[in-house]
Amino acid sequence: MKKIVKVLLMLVFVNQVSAQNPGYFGKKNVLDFSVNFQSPLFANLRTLSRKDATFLALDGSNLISKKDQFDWGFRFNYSRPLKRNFAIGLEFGFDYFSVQRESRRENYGSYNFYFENIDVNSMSIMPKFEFSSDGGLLPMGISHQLGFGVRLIKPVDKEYTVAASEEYLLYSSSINIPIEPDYSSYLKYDGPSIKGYTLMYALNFRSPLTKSLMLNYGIRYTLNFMGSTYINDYNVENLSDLELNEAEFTDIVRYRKQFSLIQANIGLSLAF
Amino acid sequence: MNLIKLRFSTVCFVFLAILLDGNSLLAQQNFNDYKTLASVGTIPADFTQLTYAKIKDDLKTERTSLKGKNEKIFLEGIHYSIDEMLHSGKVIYGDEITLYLNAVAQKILKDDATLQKELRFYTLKSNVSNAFSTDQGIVFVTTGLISQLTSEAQLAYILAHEISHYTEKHVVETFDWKTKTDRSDRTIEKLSQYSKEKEFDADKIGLKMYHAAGYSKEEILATFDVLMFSYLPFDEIAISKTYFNSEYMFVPESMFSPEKYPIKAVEDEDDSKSSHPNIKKRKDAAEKELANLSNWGKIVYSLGEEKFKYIRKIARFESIRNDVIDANYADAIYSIFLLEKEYPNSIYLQRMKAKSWLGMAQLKELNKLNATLQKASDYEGEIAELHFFLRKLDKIGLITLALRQVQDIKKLQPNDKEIQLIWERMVKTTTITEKFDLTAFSSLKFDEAKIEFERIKADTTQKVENKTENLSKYEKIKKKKNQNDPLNFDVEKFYLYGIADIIKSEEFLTTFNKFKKELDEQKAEEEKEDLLSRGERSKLNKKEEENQIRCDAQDLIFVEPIVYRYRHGQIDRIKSEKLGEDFVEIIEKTSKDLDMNVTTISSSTLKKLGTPGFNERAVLLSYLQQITNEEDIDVFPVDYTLLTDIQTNYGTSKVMFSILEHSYQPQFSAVLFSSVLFFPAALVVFPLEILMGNETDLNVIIMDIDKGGIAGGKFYHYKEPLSNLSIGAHLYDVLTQVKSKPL
Repeated sequence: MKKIVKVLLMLVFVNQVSAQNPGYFGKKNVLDFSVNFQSPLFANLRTLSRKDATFLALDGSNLISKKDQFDWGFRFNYSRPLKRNFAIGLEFGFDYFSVQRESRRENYGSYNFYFENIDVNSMSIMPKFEFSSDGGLLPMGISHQLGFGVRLIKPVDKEYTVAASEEYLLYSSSINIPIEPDYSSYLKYDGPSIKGYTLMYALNFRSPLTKSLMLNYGIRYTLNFMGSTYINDYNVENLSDLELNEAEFTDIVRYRKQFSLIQANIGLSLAF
Repeated sequence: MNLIKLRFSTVCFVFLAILLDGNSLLAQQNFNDYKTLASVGTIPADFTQLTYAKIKDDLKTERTSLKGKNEKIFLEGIHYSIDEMLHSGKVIYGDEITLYLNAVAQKILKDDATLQKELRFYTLKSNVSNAFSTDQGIVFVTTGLISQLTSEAQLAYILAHEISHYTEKHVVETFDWKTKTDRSDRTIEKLSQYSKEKEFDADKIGLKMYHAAGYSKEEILATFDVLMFSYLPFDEIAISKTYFNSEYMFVPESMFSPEKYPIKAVEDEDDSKSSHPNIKKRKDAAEKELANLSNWGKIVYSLGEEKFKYIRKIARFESIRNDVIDANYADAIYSIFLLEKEYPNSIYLQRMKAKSWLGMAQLKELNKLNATLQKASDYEGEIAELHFFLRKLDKIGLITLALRQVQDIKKLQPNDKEIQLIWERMVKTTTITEKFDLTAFSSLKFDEAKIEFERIKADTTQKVENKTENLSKYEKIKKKKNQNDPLNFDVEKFYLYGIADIIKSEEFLTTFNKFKKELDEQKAEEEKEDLLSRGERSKLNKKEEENQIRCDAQDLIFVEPIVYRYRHGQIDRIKSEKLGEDFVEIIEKTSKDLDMNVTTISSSTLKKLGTPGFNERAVLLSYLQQITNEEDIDVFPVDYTLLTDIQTNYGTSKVMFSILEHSYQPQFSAVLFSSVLFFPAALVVFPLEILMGNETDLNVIIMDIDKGGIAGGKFYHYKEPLSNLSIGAHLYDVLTQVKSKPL
């Protein structure tokens, strides 16, 4: 937190440096709020070739298959142009997406365990730079943004269903697994947050709406990095093996996010 | 009704005044202190009504016989091209020439009240000899044409010809012919044939009008002669070979051409691709018509010969200003030569002469003067002698002669601020001229040096030779370089003996050394910059760039922006005009936000500003045109004194000019290419192209009247969608800088 305050203070005290830039109608501080989303098509390139890009969602007393989900999130960004074509900023991002654990098989038994998809919250902090062409007049107009940030990822704290079925089902678009109370159970994932890193490039537009408000929109490309040592042996000997450990969570998040290349975003920017 | 009566009586009174004594209500020009023509009176609606409003009116009233799309295309084309001219700063109303045109036109139209009401006559400041009428009833006559005429009757015939084009609706008929004729049949020859028929028609009908007005038939054929030779200066007088000589300067005759250059124009030239028939055909046709008409009048001057000559003289004085604006400095000098015989003390002629010599020196310094001079193959008439001479002079020669001329003018007008500034800039030009070394100039006058040379040659040649033999190699070199040594006298380098007084003058030396010091300091700075690291240099460049338009100005004059919005590669005139209006509004709002006092002089504010604003706008646009014509040199404003009046009027010397261009052209070929290579990429490239297809260029120039030149400029190129706010944000940036002190 101290670090964040320091960065914010630094941004506020760059007045002298930014004397050359009148900002947007004289306003040199910009607060962006934007909503970002990824359609399944853009979500990750791997899913384009995967028919089994399926999530198992709870639907009454069944776990049913759903196609890859719609990721979304929102971001707050504070930025300050130092020159007409250069600005620095700090961004806070909140993303919501789901991950899917792979099924397990009971060791020396006949049951297969299927997991409800896990809702994940991610929070990121990212210092970034904005550039525009020589004719640019930041914060308005087109800018290229580069950032590198830290991401803290945590499953949403709630009970998730684990359904047991004697049938071995391949994930497809038409799975329907009845949740049988005698065999199924619920799990809570309350493990620690995992950490990841994000390298970001964005092409962003801020189009004026009023003298202090702009519409911002654009696309961003991200590369997400997180380490994992998890190896799935798929066999369950004790029910405690069904618990989600940090390594597995990291692995499935990594799998889900590593190819989340393209996002679109839209929002409002307030210049002040 | 009363208003109409009042207006009519006012008009009658004006014309009566002209007819009675040849004097208009305007003050007569004093040619010794000539003032360029300016508009007078109430600003006509032709100048204040916006173009798209004119088109809308015409569409509503179905003014033309055209229908549908063609009508719209025609009206847009005709209105925008004519309005561009009306707003160019070159067209004037209510001035002495325009009143004269109207008076002559009234004579021709005395029996046609409808045409009297419909037609408007304006003067166009241009040296191209021309008159033309438009479909909307405007007749333009150039000052160039008036300067060439020899009688009022000739002007009457030309006006009658143009009025006939209007009454016969030739403009719209030609457009209709073009649209209805197959592309394959629309050859230049066929268009020329069609156009020539219309010209014969206008000659014939014009002749009847002219006859009915009682003008003399003797002036008809002479009018065609005027037209044939109108590309030449307004008089043919040999420039004296002593014209550039003065107390100190002597130009040897060998510098002038030994031959004369005949006039090449012929009556029977090939006109197969011309819009007009050749002069012979027109004369022949006119002669036939002349024979068909009887009871010819005798009028050559209905308004008096003196009045005609007075008007023509105004046009001739204007031609010099037009040449200076267009950087045709040699032509300006020739016209000055023609006019200064009668007005040797005219301050106007002296200022224009000084500006012309300065302009030539500046261009010569950049080795660009020859592009403004006639090519040897084009030499024709007496003016060719001047072009020959100027071409023959080497760089130092021309710049020295220019300095001599400006210095002599300064001596004649020691208290004139404008001439003082031109002189200073002339001195500055010498300091930046490579090899312009004061030590190379002789302290003897040309004739003194020549006499001395002859004496030595006759008397002591042998002695001198012996004396030279005893000198060392280095002393010999030194001696050869010394222009004060009569032995080194060189007739070809006559100019080295032409500024003996100037190089001894304290004022010159102080000014020269001041500029030399500035130049040396600048060079030292540049050398220092060469030693800087890349980062430091970039920082310095950024700082210089940042200081471009910072001039600590709270008050500013903003001149009408030039705005072009393109659509499919073509200018969308209507959108451009509307955007221009928005631009003016934006700058007014933005300046208020910044507590700046910005006065806008533009066509959209003309109703409010009236004729004084219209004239100020014309002066400012003339300067902008000068800059555009000769962007390589630091041009001296042609209307410097009028600019200083504007400065006094608005309390600021800073003037802002701007050009805004916008086009939207996404490159979908990139989408196609990416789709072929990898389909999903198209989904990224396509929206990018949609969003980034906007191209906007905003160019801003700040002029400082005090300095008589450009203070700086700023250029923005951006790819955002066009909106008033995005323009506003950029103008906010511009005005913030103008308001700021240099870093």
